[in-house]
Amino acid sequence: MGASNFVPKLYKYRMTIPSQLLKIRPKVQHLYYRGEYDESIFNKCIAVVGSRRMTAYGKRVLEKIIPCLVEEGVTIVSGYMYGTDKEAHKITLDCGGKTIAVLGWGIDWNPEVPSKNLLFVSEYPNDLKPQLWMFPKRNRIVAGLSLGVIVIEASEDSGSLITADMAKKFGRKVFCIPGPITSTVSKGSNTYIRDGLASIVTDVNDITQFFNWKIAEKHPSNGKQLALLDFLDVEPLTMDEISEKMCRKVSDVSAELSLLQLKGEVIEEGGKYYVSKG
Amino acid sequence: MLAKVKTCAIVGLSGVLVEVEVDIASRGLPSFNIVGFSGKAVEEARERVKTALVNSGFAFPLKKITVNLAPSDILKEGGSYDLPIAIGILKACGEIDETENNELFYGELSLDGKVRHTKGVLLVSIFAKECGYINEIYVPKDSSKEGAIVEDTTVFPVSNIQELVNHLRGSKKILPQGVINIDTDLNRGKFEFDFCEVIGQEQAKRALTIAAAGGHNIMLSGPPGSGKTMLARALPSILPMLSAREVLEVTKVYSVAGLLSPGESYIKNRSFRAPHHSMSLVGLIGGGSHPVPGEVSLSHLGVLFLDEMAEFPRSVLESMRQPMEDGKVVISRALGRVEYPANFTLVAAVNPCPCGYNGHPRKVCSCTPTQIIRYKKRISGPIMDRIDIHVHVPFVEPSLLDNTAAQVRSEQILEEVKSARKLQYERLMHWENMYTNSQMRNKQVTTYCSLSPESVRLVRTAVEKYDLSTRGYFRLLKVARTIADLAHSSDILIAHLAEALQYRIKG
Repeated sequence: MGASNFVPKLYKYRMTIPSQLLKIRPKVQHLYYRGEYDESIFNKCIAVVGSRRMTAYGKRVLEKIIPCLVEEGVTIVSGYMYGTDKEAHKITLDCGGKTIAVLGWGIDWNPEVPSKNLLFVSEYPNDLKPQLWMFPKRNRIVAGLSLGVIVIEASEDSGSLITADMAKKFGRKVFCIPGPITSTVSKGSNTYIRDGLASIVTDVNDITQFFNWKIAEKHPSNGKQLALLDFLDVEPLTMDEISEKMCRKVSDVSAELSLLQLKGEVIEEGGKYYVSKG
Repeated sequence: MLAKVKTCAIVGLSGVLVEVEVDIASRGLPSFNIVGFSGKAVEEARERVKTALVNSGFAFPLKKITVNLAPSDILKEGGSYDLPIAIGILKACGEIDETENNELFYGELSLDGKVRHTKGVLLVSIFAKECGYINEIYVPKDSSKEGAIVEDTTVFPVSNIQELVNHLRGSKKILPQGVINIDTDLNRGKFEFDFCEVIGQEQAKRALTIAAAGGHNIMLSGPPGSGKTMLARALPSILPMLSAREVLEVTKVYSVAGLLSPGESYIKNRSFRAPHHSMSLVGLIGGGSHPVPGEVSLSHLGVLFLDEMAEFPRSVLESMRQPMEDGKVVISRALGRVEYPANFTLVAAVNPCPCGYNGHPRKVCSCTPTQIIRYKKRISGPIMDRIDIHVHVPFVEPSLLDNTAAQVRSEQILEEVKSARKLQYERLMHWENMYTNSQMRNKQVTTYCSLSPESVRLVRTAVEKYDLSTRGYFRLLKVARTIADLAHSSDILIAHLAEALQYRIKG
């Protein structure tokens, strides 16, 4: 989202329905929004849904997966319900990602103020109170907006499974995070995995690889890093040797190496840095 | 006749008023007894006082003399009660007139009547200032200069009893010791090593610079002969001078430990303590039946260097956990509880394995994997977790040693360190006893180490990839904060965080 082509939309208007929602049934008639946004926010959406009774495990999973997805430039879509949904929105915003909250009530009902990266979307106008029937309907928008749905901790009768079913119906990919078999909040999601209705996710790469996304391509190493890799390709070197060969300060080289290590392109052992093969 | 004289007992780092009551009974067989919970050295004061008085030309009264040291619930130890007892006897037998009793006597006597250098004079002086009813203190001449750094207390340097008696009789006055101002801009003097003497090892130098700037604990690991010890010993040369307030804190500890040499007034440089690994737990932490400060307190606001850290007994190392966390040690003994400050920067040096050559480019390591694992486990996780910076000091090829490239001098690094410390000082000035980034608690870290969304993403990836603990996370932020301070950056940038990641615990 470059600053130059950022065109803020007017606040709280009925919006044009994003293309990916056009084909879903029951048809989405109107869509209201709150917040400033750029159309690109709808480009690459992944829904993250799960139990309202989120456990510590569920939270750890979110913390593990969402930053990597944000790194990919993914917009995280969820239902703005307490528990997994809200945590997913929060973590996304914390690490600077964009997120869409599809509300199960009138667009004005909740008092929270949207931010530049958080867009509220709802089918219902004004301050219509939430009704039980609205949530399943809301779920079809969550599924419809997204390329895939990640289910984290869903009990057997969870609304998250409704979202997953809708996603399958609309031809979206469904991922399930396995949970402990002793946990009731993971029963539904585990069953989906067992029955082959969803792909199991044991690492965020399972998701990125499915869509053929590659971090390295998205964030090409800068010139300095490439030069560093060239040196290390010849032979493993210590920090001092690198800094001497490149005539650069140790502090700069350290920082660059850390970034390469985080990307998994360089590994360190016993004080020497190697290029990671594979 | 009964005479009363004031003196002072040192408990921990503070003084407690002790009254010396001397009674010379008109009846009874000649005797000389000291009562009032006194230790061995105080019992022996009888002989010292008696001989010193006789050798100074006074007649020792051949009567029943009873000395009481009140209050009787504090153990009195050491030789500092000699002078007040002697003065009490002289008063009781009428050699000196009774005074207003707003003076305090403190000092050990020698048999010839001279007053010897006694430890703890600074604390006596501070006590006199704070209690409000003592105007003058009479202390050994050799120790008077340490007492004189406290304003508002008149310190009389006493070299022998005769001189003191003349002063109290008014026949020949002793000149009070003038107040000594703490001058923090003094010439720092020579240091053992300068950083320019260490060839290469740029990464280790950088890590030590960060450690010095933020007061971070640091661990250097590498094969023998790679320069770990030399690097650590060069660290004092890049530490800023103590501020006036810090000088007082450190000098207190040294005064109690009796480590100020005669005539010395205060500790000017940050201390660098390098105890051997055969040191006992009490030697490190402090203690004993009459508690004295240990190495952790003697390195207060300075450097504690543990060379060959893995060789230290585990119990000794583990005992450092509390001081490393709280910056102080609390020693509880049957006779009471004392507290000493222990805010030090730990510099630890270790080998990678028992033979030392693991990862060496040319020598072959002769250790089995089990031995290496066992060796690494000798330093426990909690201690490792309290060390902010871990850095590898690789072997340097001898051919590189005649490298003539100019090495950075300590003075240049010192300037960087000073300005980084100044930033921290300004940022943390609202918090008590907090001078450096390493001292920040989680609360301050959250306030002063705010991150941009981009940085948050980096940190989260790192936490995930390296499985950082909560403490590890905060440690990362603290080190990054110091790196940012060294770069005069008010925000922590990606580059600062990324560099800090290099200093995490590895493998």
